[in-house]
Amino acid sequence: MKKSYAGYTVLWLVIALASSMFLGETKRPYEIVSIKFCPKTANTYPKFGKEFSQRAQEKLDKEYCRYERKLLKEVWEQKQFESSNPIPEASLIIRDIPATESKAIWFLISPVAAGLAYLSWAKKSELNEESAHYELEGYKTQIKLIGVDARNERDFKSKTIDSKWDKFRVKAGQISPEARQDRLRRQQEVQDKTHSSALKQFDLADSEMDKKIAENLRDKHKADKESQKVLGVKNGEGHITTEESKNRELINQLVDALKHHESGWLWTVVDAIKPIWLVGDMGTGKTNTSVAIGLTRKYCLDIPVFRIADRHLNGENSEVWNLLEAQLKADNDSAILEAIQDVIERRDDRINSKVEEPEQFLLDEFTQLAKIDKESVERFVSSTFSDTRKAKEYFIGVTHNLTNAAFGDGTADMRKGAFYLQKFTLDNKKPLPRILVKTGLKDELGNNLEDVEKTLPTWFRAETIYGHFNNKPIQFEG
Amino acid sequence: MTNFGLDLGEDTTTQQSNYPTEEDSSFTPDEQEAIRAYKENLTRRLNKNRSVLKGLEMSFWGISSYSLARFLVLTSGMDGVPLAVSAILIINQITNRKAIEDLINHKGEDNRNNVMGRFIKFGFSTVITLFLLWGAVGKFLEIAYQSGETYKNIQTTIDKFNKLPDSEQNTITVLVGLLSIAGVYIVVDSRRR
Repeated sequence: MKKSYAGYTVLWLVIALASSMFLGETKRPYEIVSIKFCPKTANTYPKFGKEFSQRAQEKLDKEYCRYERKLLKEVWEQKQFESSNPIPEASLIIRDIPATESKAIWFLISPVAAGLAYLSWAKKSELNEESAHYELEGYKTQIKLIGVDARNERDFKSKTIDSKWDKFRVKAGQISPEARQDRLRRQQEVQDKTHSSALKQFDLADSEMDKKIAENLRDKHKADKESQKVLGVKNGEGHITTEESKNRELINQLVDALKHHESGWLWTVVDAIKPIWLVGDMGTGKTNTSVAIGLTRKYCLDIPVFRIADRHLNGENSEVWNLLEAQLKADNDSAILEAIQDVIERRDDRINSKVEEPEQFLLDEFTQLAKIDKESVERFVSSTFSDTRKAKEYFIGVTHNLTNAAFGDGTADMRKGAFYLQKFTLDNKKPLPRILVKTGLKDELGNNLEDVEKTLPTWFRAETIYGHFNNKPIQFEG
Repeated sequence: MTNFGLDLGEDTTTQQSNYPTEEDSSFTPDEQEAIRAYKENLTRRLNKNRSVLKGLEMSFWGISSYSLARFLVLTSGMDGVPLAVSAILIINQITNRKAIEDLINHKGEDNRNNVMGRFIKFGFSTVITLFLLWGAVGKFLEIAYQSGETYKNIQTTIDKFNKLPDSEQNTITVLVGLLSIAGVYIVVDSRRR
């Protein structure tokens, strides 16, 4: 129930004013004394005649005793007390006039009533201030609702009228029904294009965000590693921590094994920044070998995998690819082509900003890409041969053949600057350990060697390398 | 007291706030105008409430000081007068404490107008206080003064009564004079013989 605080205010104010101005006042608020001075004549009977004595007394009374003087009792008593020669009360007729009944208590009630009047109004003001905001917001809601309703009504009615007049025009032969249909179709096309463009904007924003996230993750890993290095030095006074020591031991074991395998050719391949191309038929284990090289680089050389691209990323190779823990992934032709274009720009950026931190890019199923976008692929191949070293990018590509159809024209000479590792199989199921290093290796004098026969160690598989650094160390022979 | 200020379209960026600012829904210019007018009405109503509240506050202090003074005078008589005057002056000081502080502590040129305003307010409230004082204790003081005068009159009347009347005093003086002259004449006449 809404209380009428304004009414309370008026009520208490009336009580306050009535108490202070009217109810507390009385007709005679103070005690009064009434004093008559009536001296007795000295011409008393029988010394003087009776009649004479009476006349003398009457004369005195007429002179003095006619008037009654009133004064505050308090003042009378005070004066009598203070005076050195007080008035003798024997010749006075003193009459006390008491004050009427005191109503002074009303003067205590009036401030209380005035205070309550103030508090009532204060409460009213407070409630009004509180409700004002709700009232305003409610009004805004009403305005909005009415506005939306009215605008929709106007739109609807105007469209209805437009439609009606279009029908009239068709009937009058001013426009043909086909033209009308065509107009509607074009409008629909514009709408579809707008929709499609908007979706692309979202995709673009997503990819930008993915890229940013990947870069942030890379920076985080880098910072973590630097922190660990600093903390390791501090904790061990120049010695690395136990965990790091263990990892270092695992790395050393693997690197030693690679260095001791067939004169260390595999370590040369892993350690070099030259692009690696793995070639072979289906079932030769190209993807697995590329991931094994990527993992070895990741763990032993501390090079994170920035991006992987494979049409079958989520298919049969998904488990192997997942071992790499790449920051960005492209799993279909259009995404791979976008990734390729982005890689070209990224290489330029990294070269221009003189980035020191290396990163890896693994690209599978390269063979088919030139058929989809030859121009982009040629640009990419050209960039791969010329820019990867400067951009500190360790690239591994997987393809079925080394034809110009796959790489583009005019790249034959450039291709000699990369490792071409051909793999083999007998039954297109089980890969052979044989590997033919077609280009990339050099002799002691620096001459290019071609078609060098080598084998891969049996443990050089993606799962085994991953397990080596995740609680399943490889038992190397010897 | 909080200020009800949610002005649409006004630049409030100068007011620093701890809270983040959120944009309101979009409104057409006509809607904004209607909302602004509605809000002005609301603000006007709230301001009226505030001014009435200030008036009630002043009434409270006025009624309290008058009633307290009257109560003290009625119950304590002359003894209550100093207390009553003190009560009124103290309450006056409470209501004008800010004005008094500004008058005492004012510095520089910037707030001269403000201080003048305070001074005027203080002077006005002092006049009201004097009215209150007169209403509460003035009448009583007048009665007390007249009672003192009445006492003096009674005293004078009695003193006057205790003296001989002036006419009798003159007769005695004449008689004494005549008798003295007659005595001198008898003495001088007897020596001549």
